[in-house]
Amino acid sequence: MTARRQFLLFLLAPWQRIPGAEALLLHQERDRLRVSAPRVRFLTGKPLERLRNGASVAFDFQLAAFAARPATLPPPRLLDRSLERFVVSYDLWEEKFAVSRPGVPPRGVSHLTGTAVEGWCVENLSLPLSSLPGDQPFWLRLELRAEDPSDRPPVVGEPGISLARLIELFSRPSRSQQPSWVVDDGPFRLADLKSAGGRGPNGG
Amino acid sequence: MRWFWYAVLVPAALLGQEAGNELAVPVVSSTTASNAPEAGMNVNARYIVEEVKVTGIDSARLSKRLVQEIQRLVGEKFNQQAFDQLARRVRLELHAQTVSQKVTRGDQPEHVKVVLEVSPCCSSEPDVSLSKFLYHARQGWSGKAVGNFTIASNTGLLLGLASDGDDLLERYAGLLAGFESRKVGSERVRLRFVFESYHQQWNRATLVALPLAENGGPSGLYRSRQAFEPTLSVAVTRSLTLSAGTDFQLLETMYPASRYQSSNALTGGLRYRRRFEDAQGHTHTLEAGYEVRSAARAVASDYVYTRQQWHFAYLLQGSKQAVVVDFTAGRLTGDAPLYERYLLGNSTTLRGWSKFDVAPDGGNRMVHNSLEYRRTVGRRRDDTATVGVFYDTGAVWDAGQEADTRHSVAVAARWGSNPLSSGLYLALAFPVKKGHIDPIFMAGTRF
Repeated sequence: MTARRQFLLFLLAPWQRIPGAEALLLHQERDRLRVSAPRVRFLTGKPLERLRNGASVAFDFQLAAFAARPATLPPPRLLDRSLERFVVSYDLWEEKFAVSRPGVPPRGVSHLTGTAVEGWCVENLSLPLSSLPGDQPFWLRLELRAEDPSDRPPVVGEPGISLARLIELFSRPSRSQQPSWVVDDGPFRLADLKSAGGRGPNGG
Repeated sequence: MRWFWYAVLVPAALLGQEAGNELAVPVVSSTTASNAPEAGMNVNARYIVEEVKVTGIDSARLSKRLVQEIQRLVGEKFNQQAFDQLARRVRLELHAQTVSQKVTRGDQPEHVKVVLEVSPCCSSEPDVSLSKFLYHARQGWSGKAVGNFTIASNTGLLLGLASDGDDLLERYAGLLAGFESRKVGSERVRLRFVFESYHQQWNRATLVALPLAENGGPSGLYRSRQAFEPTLSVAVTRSLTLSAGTDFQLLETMYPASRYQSSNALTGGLRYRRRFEDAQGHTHTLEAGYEVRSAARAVASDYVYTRQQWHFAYLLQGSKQAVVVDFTAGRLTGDAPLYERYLLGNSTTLRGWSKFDVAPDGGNRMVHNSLEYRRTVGRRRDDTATVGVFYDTGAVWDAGQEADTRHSVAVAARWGSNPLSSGLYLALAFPVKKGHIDPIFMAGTRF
């Protein structure tokens, strides 16, 4: 994999990349790894316009851990991943956002600001610590896509969300008109996370 | 004790109000599993629909059934799924490009207004749907790509290229450009100017069939053709459209000598289209049309003729099955150029026959009927996949000669959203004739 090829892959990727160091902040909650992404702003542009027009907009999230840097060829080994869908809506009378997670039972939070909704979604993603190497570095990719309205019926089915459909959705590139974001960060080490008292900067 | 709680809760509530939106407390909720997956996921679902408006079109174009459906949603709690379905139905019924939803606060507290904004789709107009791409085993490839670009509100620019060996006796290749105003004073009135410039190629069978000119060459051939067609159409009612215009054509003849001839005609048409549902949920679509083109010396035409064509189509569609009947008849009198002569045996008529076997120089009388049965085998969003069989029968002849009626049968697979237009299709058609079976394969799309 040449640097030039990596650069071309970077340019051709249809999603919006969040550049810079420490894009993801990690913390441990019991036996799970949770992240926050303070620089990710997805309630913008077309999705925000749809929300302000009274529609609900679903966002599909994937948090994946890799054994090496994700944007390389051949693709690195996937250690584990977490997939979630969150449905956001905007209360026209109270001028506040609400977010729900489909499932049994579906859970939701209302009366939030836009920033709070963005944070709530990311913080509800987690990976089991047992799936991550104890002493080896790992990389994380946070990927999210605003719902393509034409994908809605198959993804959210009875009695909740179709995980298989979400995996399929993230296995193909986002459509050119589909707002999407991706954040790559790492390397991290679980040992650094634990020594930092549960909240870890990049371990590398 | 009760007063103690009042003393604690009332100031807290007042403080919360003063803090306004910035200090609003997030409320965590958990709905029951019996709820539909997305029911309640739009926080506006608790508000009552005060009003539903459809904008961007003349509301008289909406069917009575759809209007009733819209009225039913007023006074109910806002249900996004119901409005998604309604928007989809409006889009299908009006053949609109998009129908977007906008929900705003109502005039009364806890009420909302819903606006469905319709963006009309020009290509849904049957006379504007010009693009196609097809393969016919006897005629080869034909392609016509016409773009309709919106350059201003209700104003479009048509640009296109064509190499078509299917529509006419000739293969014509060249370009098309035009201008269209979709609203002339009213949305019911449209005006269009189209300019076309083509070069012709002729099939050997046509050359042999044509009578000889003075110097021995086939008469009536032309090597190039330019056309200018201004047309005004008026939607008299939601179902009835009237059109009138002119067709100025300049032909560069080949025999007996290369010279230019004009074929200038006044054109008119009447088109009726109605779609309705019966009590069993079957959709009935009825189309009927009449077109006339009359060229006369009075409009500086070298050719003098009158061409009339009648068309009738009926589609009965259930949830899985459909039957289509399509009838066309034409009559041509006078001395008309070859592009006006009727033909049968192409991708839409007498499928299975070659037009060069049926009547290589065309005819001035024509009758054709097509009967088709389709069964839906797949569905994805607004598109359906169907397989079907059709039976075509027709005759094309010159006045005073005996009409030779021909028949053909075919199996076809189709994919598309509009059941009366072809969409994407594959067909294997067989002419019904004694002796041997000589099938013709066709594939193509119209859009």
